[in-house]
Amino acid sequence: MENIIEKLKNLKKIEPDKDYSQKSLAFILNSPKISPNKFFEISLLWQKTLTGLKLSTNVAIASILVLVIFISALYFNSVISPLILPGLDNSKISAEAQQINQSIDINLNEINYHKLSQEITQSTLEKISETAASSETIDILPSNEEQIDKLLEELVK
Amino acid sequence: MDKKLKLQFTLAICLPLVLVFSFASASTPSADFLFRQKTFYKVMELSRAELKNLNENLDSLKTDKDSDYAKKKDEYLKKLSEFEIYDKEVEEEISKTKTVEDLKNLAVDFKNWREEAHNPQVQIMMNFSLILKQKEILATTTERFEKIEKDVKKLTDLGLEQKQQLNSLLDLAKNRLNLANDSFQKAKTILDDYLYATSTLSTSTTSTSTTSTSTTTEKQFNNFEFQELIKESFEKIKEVYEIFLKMSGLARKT
Repeated sequence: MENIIEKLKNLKKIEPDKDYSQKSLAFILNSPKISPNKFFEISLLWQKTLTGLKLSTNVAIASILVLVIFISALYFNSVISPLILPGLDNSKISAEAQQINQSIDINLNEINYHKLSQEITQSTLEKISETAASSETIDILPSNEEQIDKLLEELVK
Repeated sequence: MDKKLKLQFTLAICLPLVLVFSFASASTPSADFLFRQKTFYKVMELSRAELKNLNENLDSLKTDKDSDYAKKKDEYLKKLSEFEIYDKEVEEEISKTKTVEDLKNLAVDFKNWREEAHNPQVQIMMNFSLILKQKEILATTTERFEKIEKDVKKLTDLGLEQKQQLNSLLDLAKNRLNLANDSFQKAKTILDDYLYATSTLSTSTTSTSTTSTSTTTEKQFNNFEFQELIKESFEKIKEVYEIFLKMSGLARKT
Protein backbone atom coordinates (compact mmCIF):
# COMPACT_ATOMS: atom_id res chain seq x y z
CA MET A 1 0.00 0.00 0.00
CA GLU A 2 2.74 2.38 1.01
CA ASN A 3 4.47 1.44 -2.14
CA ILE A 4 1.59 2.67 -4.26
CA ILE A 5 1.38 6.00 -2.43
CA GLU A 6 5.08 6.42 -2.97
CA LYS A 7 4.66 5.79 -6.67
CA LEU A 8 1.85 8.33 -6.95
CA LYS A 9 3.92 11.00 -5.26
CA ASN A 10 6.66 10.32 -7.77
CA LEU A 11 4.22 10.97 -10.63
CA LYS A 12 4.04 14.66 -9.58
CA LYS A 13 7.62 15.00 -10.60
CA ILE A 14 6.97 14.07 -14.23
CA GLU A 15 7.97 16.93 -16.60
CA PRO A 16 8.05 17.26 -20.38
CA ASP A 17 11.24 16.98 -22.26
CA LYS A 18 13.06 20.33 -22.00
CA ASP A 19 13.74 20.57 -25.70
CA TYR A 20 10.12 19.80 -26.56
CA SER A 21 8.75 22.42 -24.13
CA GLN A 22 11.07 25.11 -25.51
CA LYS A 23 10.05 24.37 -29.09
CA SER A 24 6.38 24.38 -28.20
CA LEU A 25 6.66 27.71 -26.41
CA ALA A 26 8.51 29.25 -29.34
CA PHE A 27 5.84 27.95 -31.78
CA ILE A 28 2.94 29.33 -29.73
CA LEU A 29 4.59 32.73 -29.30
CA ASN A 30 5.48 33.07 -32.98
CA SER A 31 2.13 31.96 -34.43
CA PRO A 32 -0.07 34.96 -35.71
CA LYS A 33 -2.78 36.21 -33.42
CA ILE A 34 -6.33 35.41 -34.60
CA SER A 35 -8.35 38.68 -34.69
CA PRO A 36 -11.70 38.38 -32.94
CA ASN A 37 -14.87 38.73 -35.02
CA LYS A 38 -15.64 42.42 -34.63
CA PHE A 39 -19.11 42.24 -36.06
CA PHE A 40 -19.96 39.41 -33.69
CA GLU A 41 -18.56 41.41 -30.85
CA ILE A 42 -20.55 44.54 -31.76
CA SER A 43 -23.78 42.62 -32.22
CA LEU A 44 -23.17 40.90 -28.91
CA LEU A 45 -22.53 44.27 -27.28
CA TRP A 46 -25.66 45.74 -28.94
CA GLN A 47 -27.72 42.79 -27.82
CA LYS A 48 -26.37 43.15 -24.26
CA THR A 49 -27.05 46.91 -24.34
CA LEU A 50 -30.60 46.52 -25.60
CA THR A 51 -31.51 43.82 -23.18
CA GLY A 52 -29.87 45.77 -20.44
CA LEU A 53 -31.79 48.95 -21.26
CA LYS A 54 -35.19 49.85 -19.95
CA LEU A 55 -38.30 50.12 -22.15
CA SER A 56 -38.33 53.92 -21.93
CA THR A 57 -34.79 54.09 -23.24
CA ASN A 58 -35.69 51.82 -26.14
CA VAL A 59 -38.63 54.07 -27.02
CA ALA A 60 -36.34 57.08 -26.92
CA ILE A 61 -33.87 55.45 -29.33
CA ALA A 62 -36.68 54.48 -31.71
CA SER A 63 -37.99 58.08 -31.63
CA ILE A 64 -34.57 59.41 -32.48
CA LEU A 65 -34.32 57.00 -35.39
CA VAL A 66 -37.74 58.10 -36.72
CA LEU A 67 -36.69 61.72 -36.37
CA VAL A 68 -33.48 61.09 -38.31
CA ILE A 69 -35.47 59.42 -41.12
CA PHE A 70 -37.94 62.33 -41.19
CA ILE A 71 -35.19 64.94 -41.34
CA SER A 72 -33.47 62.95 -44.13
CA ALA A 73 -36.72 62.92 -46.11
CA LEU A 74 -37.10 66.68 -45.67
CA TYR A 75 -33.53 67.19 -46.74
CA PHE A 76 -34.06 65.00 -49.80
CA ASN A 77 -37.21 66.91 -50.69
CA SER A 78 -35.66 70.33 -50.32
CA VAL A 79 -32.13 69.80 -51.54
CA ILE A 80 -31.86 66.67 -53.68
CA SER A 81 -35.37 66.43 -55.14
CA PRO A 82 -35.20 69.81 -57.00
CA LEU A 83 -32.25 68.43 -58.88
CA ILE A 84 -34.36 65.54 -60.19
CA LEU A 85 -36.36 67.02 -63.08
CA PRO A 86 -38.54 64.37 -64.75
CA GLY A 87 -40.45 66.96 -66.77
CA LEU A 88 -37.36 68.50 -68.31
CA ASP A 89 -35.71 65.15 -69.10
CA ASN A 90 -34.12 65.82 -72.48
CA SER A 91 -34.26 62.25 -73.77
CA LYS A 92 -37.95 61.92 -72.89
CA ILE A 93 -38.86 65.26 -74.49
CA SER A 94 -36.86 64.42 -77.62
CA ALA A 95 -38.55 61.02 -77.98
CA GLU A 96 -41.98 62.54 -77.40
CA ALA A 97 -41.34 65.40 -79.84
CA GLN A 98 -40.17 62.96 -82.49
CA GLN A 99 -43.24 60.78 -82.04
CA ILE A 100 -45.60 63.76 -82.16
CA ASN A 101 -43.89 65.32 -85.18
CA GLN A 102 -44.10 62.00 -86.97
CA SER A 103 -47.78 61.64 -86.16
CA ILE A 104 -48.48 65.23 -87.32
CA ASP A 105 -46.60 64.68 -90.58
CA ILE A 106 -48.53 61.47 -91.25
CA ASN A 107 -51.81 63.31 -90.65
CA LEU A 108 -50.81 66.18 -92.94
CA ASN A 109 -49.72 63.72 -95.62
CA GLU A 110 -53.02 61.90 -95.36
CA ILE A 111 -54.95 65.12 -95.87
CA ASN A 112 -52.95 65.81 -99.04
CA TYR A 113 -53.06 62.20 -100.15
CA HIS A 114 -56.84 61.90 -100.03
CA LYS A 115 -57.27 65.23 -101.77
CA LEU A 116 -54.95 64.19 -104.58
CA SER A 117 -56.41 60.72 -104.81
CA GLN A 118 -59.93 62.10 -105.20
CA GLU A 119 -58.80 64.55 -107.87
CA ILE A 120 -56.98 61.89 -109.88
CA THR A 121 -59.83 59.39 -109.59
CA GLN A 122 -62.35 61.97 -110.77
CA SER A 123 -60.26 63.12 -113.70
CA THR A 124 -59.46 59.53 -114.76
CA LEU A 125 -63.12 58.56 -114.64
CA GLU A 126 -63.92 61.62 -116.73
CA LYS A 127 -61.38 60.52 -119.33
CA ILE A 128 -62.76 56.97 -119.38
CA SER A 129 -66.28 58.27 -119.93
CA GLU A 130 -65.31 60.69 -122.70
CA THR A 131 -67.45 60.17 -125.77
CA ALA A 132 -64.70 59.69 -128.30
CA ALA A 133 -61.38 57.94 -128.03
CA SER A 134 -59.43 61.02 -128.99
CA SER A 135 -55.68 61.13 -129.20
CA GLU A 136 -55.82 63.35 -126.14
CA THR A 137 -57.51 60.61 -124.14
CA ILE A 138 -54.92 58.13 -125.24
CA ASP A 139 -52.18 60.54 -124.13
CA ILE A 140 -53.68 61.48 -120.80
CA LEU A 141 -54.83 58.11 -119.50
CA PRO A 142 -51.33 56.67 -119.12
CA SER A 143 -50.25 59.69 -117.10
CA ASN A 144 -53.31 59.20 -114.91
CA GLU A 145 -52.33 55.58 -114.49
CA GLU A 146 -48.86 56.61 -113.46
CA GLN A 147 -50.31 58.98 -110.90
CA ILE A 148 -52.51 56.21 -109.57
CA ASP A 149 -49.51 53.91 -109.33
CA LYS A 150 -47.58 56.58 -107.46
CA LEU A 151 -50.43 57.05 -105.03
CA LEU A 152 -50.71 53.30 -104.53
CA GLU A 153 -46.98 53.12 -103.83
CA GLU A 154 -47.31 55.90 -101.28
CA LEU A 155 -50.04 53.98 -99.52
CA VAL A 156 -47.89 50.85 -99.30
CA LYS A 157 -44.93 52.81 -97.81
CA MET B 1 -74.74 33.09 -167.78
CA ASP B 2 -71.02 33.19 -167.17
CA LYS B 3 -71.33 36.55 -165.54
CA LYS B 4 -74.07 35.25 -163.28
CA LEU B 5 -71.97 32.28 -162.35
CA LYS B 6 -68.99 34.49 -161.67
CA LEU B 7 -71.07 36.70 -159.42
CA GLN B 8 -72.47 33.74 -157.57
CA PHE B 9 -68.98 32.33 -157.19
CA THR B 10 -67.63 35.61 -155.88
CA LEU B 11 -70.49 35.97 -153.47
CA ALA B 12 -70.08 32.42 -152.27
CA ILE B 13 -66.46 33.11 -151.39
CA CYS B 14 -66.64 36.70 -150.19
CA LEU B 15 -69.78 36.59 -148.11
CA PRO B 16 -68.49 34.05 -145.62
CA LEU B 17 -65.21 35.94 -145.48
CA VAL B 18 -66.97 39.22 -144.78
CA LEU B 19 -69.08 37.52 -142.15
CA VAL B 20 -66.07 35.93 -140.52
CA PHE B 21 -64.17 39.23 -140.42
CA SER B 22 -67.09 41.20 -139.09
CA PHE B 23 -67.72 38.58 -136.41
CA ALA B 24 -64.06 38.56 -135.48
CA SER B 25 -63.93 42.33 -135.19
CA ALA B 26 -67.10 42.32 -133.08
CA SER B 27 -65.87 39.66 -130.66
CA THR B 28 -62.31 41.03 -130.30
CA PRO B 29 -62.35 44.05 -127.99
CA SER B 30 -60.93 47.16 -129.52
CA ALA B 31 -57.71 48.72 -128.25
CA ASP B 32 -59.72 51.69 -127.05
CA PHE B 33 -62.00 49.43 -125.00
CA LEU B 34 -59.08 47.55 -123.47
CA PHE B 35 -57.32 50.79 -122.68
CA ARG B 36 -60.32 52.25 -120.90
CA GLN B 37 -61.04 49.01 -119.06
CA LYS B 38 -57.45 48.70 -117.84
CA THR B 39 -57.50 52.27 -116.55
CA PHE B 40 -60.86 51.70 -114.90
CA TYR B 41 -59.39 48.71 -113.04
CA LYS B 42 -56.54 50.96 -111.88
CA VAL B 43 -59.07 53.45 -110.53
CA MET B 44 -60.78 50.66 -108.65
CA GLU B 45 -57.47 49.50 -107.24
CA LEU B 46 -56.80 53.00 -105.97
CA SER B 47 -60.28 53.27 -104.52
CA ARG B 48 -59.87 49.94 -102.73
CA ALA B 49 -56.49 50.95 -101.29
CA GLU B 50 -57.95 54.27 -100.19
CA LEU B 51 -60.78 52.54 -98.33
CA LYS B 52 -58.43 50.03 -96.71
CA ASN B 53 -56.19 52.85 -95.50
CA LEU B 54 -59.12 54.78 -94.08
CA ASN B 55 -60.50 51.67 -92.43
CA GLU B 56 -57.20 51.02 -90.64
CA ASN B 57 -57.02 54.66 -89.71
CA LEU B 58 -60.50 54.73 -88.14
CA ASP B 59 -60.04 51.38 -86.46
CA SER B 60 -56.95 52.61 -84.61
CA LEU B 61 -58.75 55.63 -83.13
CA LYS B 62 -59.24 55.68 -79.38
CA THR B 63 -62.72 56.66 -78.24
CA ASP B 64 -64.43 56.57 -74.87
CA LYS B 65 -66.75 53.61 -74.61
CA ASP B 66 -70.40 54.40 -75.45
CA SER B 67 -69.53 58.01 -76.28
CA ASP B 68 -71.05 59.80 -79.29
CA TYR B 69 -67.69 59.57 -81.03
CA ALA B 70 -67.49 55.81 -80.38
CA LYS B 71 -70.90 55.42 -82.00
CA LYS B 72 -69.82 57.57 -84.93
CA LYS B 73 -66.69 55.48 -85.34
CA ASP B 74 -68.77 52.28 -85.57
CA GLU B 75 -71.12 53.98 -87.99
CA TYR B 76 -68.23 55.03 -90.25
CA LEU B 77 -66.63 51.60 -90.19
CA LYS B 78 -69.95 50.13 -91.26
CA LYS B 79 -70.24 52.72 -94.01
CA LEU B 80 -66.77 51.86 -95.27
CA SER B 81 -67.77 48.19 -95.52
CA GLU B 82 -70.72 49.27 -97.66
CA PHE B 83 -68.38 51.28 -99.87
CA GLU B 84 -66.10 48.26 -100.25
CA ILE B 85 -69.05 46.10 -101.29
CA TYR B 86 -70.12 48.70 -103.83
CA ASP B 87 -66.58 48.89 -105.22
CA LYS B 88 -66.53 45.11 -105.66
CA GLU B 89 -69.83 45.24 -107.50
CA VAL B 90 -68.47 47.90 -109.84
CA GLU B 91 -65.38 45.80 -110.49
CA GLU B 92 -67.59 42.87 -111.42
CA GLU B 93 -69.54 45.13 -113.74
CA ILE B 94 -66.32 46.24 -115.42
CA SER B 95 -65.41 42.63 -116.15
CA LYS B 96 -68.84 42.06 -117.68
CA THR B 97 -68.80 45.08 -120.00
CA LYS B 98 -68.50 44.30 -123.67
CA THR B 99 -68.50 47.69 -125.32
CA VAL B 100 -66.86 51.04 -124.86
CA GLU B 101 -70.29 52.52 -124.39
CA ASP B 102 -70.98 50.21 -121.43
CA LEU B 103 -67.68 51.22 -119.86
CA LYS B 104 -68.39 54.90 -120.35
CA ASN B 105 -71.78 54.59 -118.70
CA LEU B 106 -70.32 52.65 -115.79
CA ALA B 107 -67.56 55.23 -115.37
CA VAL B 108 -70.13 58.04 -115.31
CA ASP B 109 -72.21 56.21 -112.69
CA PHE B 110 -69.18 55.50 -110.54
CA LYS B 111 -67.92 59.07 -110.84
CA ASN B 112 -71.31 60.48 -109.85
CA TRP B 113 -71.57 58.11 -106.91
CA ARG B 114 -68.14 59.13 -105.70
CA GLU B 115 -68.95 62.83 -106.03
CA GLU B 116 -72.29 62.59 -104.28
CA ALA B 117 -71.85 59.87 -101.65
CA HIS B 118 -68.29 58.61 -101.35
CA ASN B 119 -66.13 61.73 -101.36
CA PRO B 120 -68.13 63.88 -98.91
CA GLN B 121 -68.41 61.03 -96.41
CA VAL B 122 -64.79 60.00 -96.74
CA GLN B 123 -63.87 63.62 -96.17
CA ILE B 124 -65.88 63.72 -92.96
CA MET B 125 -64.34 60.44 -91.80
CA MET B 126 -60.87 61.86 -92.43
CA ASN B 127 -61.72 64.97 -90.43
CA PHE B 128 -63.23 62.87 -87.66
CA SER B 129 -59.97 60.94 -87.48
CA LEU B 130 -57.94 64.16 -87.44
CA ILE B 131 -59.93 65.52 -84.50
CA LEU B 132 -59.41 62.40 -82.41
CA LYS B 133 -55.72 62.22 -83.24
CA GLN B 134 -55.17 65.87 -82.42
CA LYS B 135 -57.09 65.40 -79.17
CA GLU B 136 -54.57 62.72 -78.17
CA ILE B 137 -51.60 64.87 -79.21
CA LEU B 138 -52.94 67.80 -77.18
CA ALA B 139 -53.40 65.58 -74.12
CA THR B 140 -49.80 64.35 -74.34
CA THR B 141 -48.48 67.90 -74.81
CA THR B 142 -50.53 69.25 -71.89
CA GLU B 143 -49.27 66.45 -69.65
CA ARG B 144 -45.67 67.28 -70.59
CA PHE B 145 -46.33 71.00 -70.02
CA GLU B 146 -47.63 70.32 -66.50
CA LYS B 147 -44.57 68.22 -65.64
CA ILE B 148 -42.25 70.93 -66.94
CA GLU B 149 -44.19 73.60 -65.04
CA LYS B 150 -43.54 71.70 -61.78
CA ASP B 151 -39.83 71.38 -62.59
CA VAL B 152 -39.53 75.07 -63.40
CA LYS B 153 -41.16 75.90 -60.07
CA LYS B 154 -38.60 73.73 -58.28
CA LEU B 155 -35.74 75.46 -60.07
CA THR B 156 -37.25 78.89 -59.39
CA ASP B 157 -37.48 78.08 -55.67
CA LEU B 158 -33.82 77.19 -55.71
CA GLY B 159 -33.15 80.66 -57.13
CA LEU B 160 -31.18 79.46 -60.09
CA GLU B 161 -29.60 81.82 -62.57
CA GLN B 162 -31.72 80.61 -65.52
CA LYS B 163 -35.03 80.92 -63.66
CA GLN B 164 -36.11 84.06 -65.53
CA GLN B 165 -35.32 82.59 -68.92
CA LEU B 166 -37.05 79.32 -68.04
CA ASN B 167 -40.15 81.13 -66.81
CA SER B 168 -40.43 83.27 -69.92
CA LEU B 169 -40.06 80.16 -72.10
CA LEU B 170 -42.71 78.45 -70.02
CA ASP B 171 -45.06 81.39 -70.64
CA LEU B 172 -44.33 81.19 -74.35
CA ALA B 173 -45.03 77.45 -74.39
CA LYS B 174 -48.30 78.05 -72.53
CA ASN B 175 -49.29 80.67 -75.06
CA ARG B 176 -48.59 78.34 -78.02
CA LEU B 177 -50.38 75.47 -76.31
CA ASN B 178 -53.43 77.69 -75.75
CA LEU B 179 -53.39 78.71 -79.41
CA ALA B 180 -53.18 75.06 -80.46
CA ASN B 181 -56.08 74.27 -78.19
CA ASP B 182 -58.14 77.22 -79.51
CA SER B 183 -57.68 76.14 -83.13
CA PHE B 184 -58.53 72.56 -82.18
CA GLN B 185 -61.71 73.62 -80.35
CA LYS B 186 -62.83 75.74 -83.32
CA ALA B 187 -62.26 72.83 -85.70
CA LYS B 188 -64.07 70.46 -83.34
CA THR B 189 -67.04 72.83 -83.16
CA ILE B 190 -67.25 72.91 -86.96
CA LEU B 191 -67.20 69.11 -87.10
CA ASP B 192 -69.58 68.62 -84.16
CA ASP B 193 -72.05 71.12 -85.63
CA TYR B 194 -72.01 69.20 -88.88
CA LEU B 195 -72.26 65.77 -87.22
CA TYR B 196 -75.04 66.92 -84.91
CA ALA B 197 -76.98 68.59 -87.74
CA THR B 198 -76.67 65.58 -90.06
CA SER B 199 -77.60 63.09 -87.35
CA THR B 200 -80.67 65.21 -86.51
CA LEU B 201 -81.55 65.34 -90.19
CA SER B 202 -81.02 61.59 -90.47
CA THR B 203 -83.43 60.97 -87.61
CA SER B 204 -86.07 63.27 -89.04
CA THR B 205 -85.80 61.87 -92.55
CA THR B 206 -85.96 58.30 -91.29
CA SER B 207 -89.14 59.07 -89.37
CA THR B 208 -90.76 60.56 -92.45
CA SER B 209 -89.59 57.60 -94.54
CA THR B 210 -87.60 59.66 -96.99
CA THR B 211 -84.28 58.54 -98.36
CA SER B 212 -81.40 59.18 -96.02
CA THR B 213 -78.92 59.66 -98.87
CA SER B 214 -79.97 63.28 -99.14
CA THR B 215 -78.88 63.98 -95.56
CA THR B 216 -75.20 64.14 -96.40
CA THR B 217 -75.71 66.96 -98.82
CA GLU B 218 -78.19 68.87 -96.62
CA LYS B 219 -75.58 70.66 -94.55
CA GLN B 220 -72.47 72.01 -96.17
CA PHE B 221 -69.24 71.29 -94.37
CA ASN B 222 -66.54 73.93 -94.52
CA ASN B 223 -63.71 71.56 -95.22
CA PHE B 224 -61.13 74.22 -96.04
CA GLU B 225 -61.68 76.15 -92.80
CA PHE B 226 -61.67 72.94 -90.75
CA GLN B 227 -58.41 71.65 -92.21
CA GLU B 228 -56.70 75.02 -91.92
CA LEU B 229 -57.58 75.10 -88.22
CA ILE B 230 -56.27 71.59 -87.67
CA LYS B 231 -53.06 72.39 -89.54
CA GLU B 232 -52.68 75.53 -87.39
CA SER B 233 -53.12 73.45 -84.25
CA PHE B 234 -50.51 70.96 -85.48
CA GLU B 235 -48.01 73.73 -86.19
CA LYS B 236 -48.47 75.26 -82.74
CA ILE B 237 -47.84 71.89 -81.10
CA LYS B 238 -44.59 71.57 -83.04
CA GLU B 239 -43.59 75.02 -81.75
CA VAL B 240 -44.44 74.00 -78.17
CA TYR B 241 -42.08 71.03 -78.39
CA GLU B 242 -39.32 73.20 -79.80
CA ILE B 243 -39.70 75.42 -76.71
CA PHE B 244 -39.70 72.36 -74.42
CA LEU B 245 -36.43 71.21 -75.94
CA LYS B 246 -34.89 74.66 -75.43
CA MET B 247 -36.00 74.61 -71.79
CA SER B 248 -34.55 71.16 -71.30
CA GLY B 249 -31.23 72.37 -72.70
CA LEU B 250 -31.24 75.30 -70.29
CA ALA B 251 -32.06 73.07 -67.33
CA ARG B 252 -29.15 70.81 -68.18
CA LYS B 253 -26.78 73.75 -67.86
CA THR B 254 -27.83 74.29 -64.19
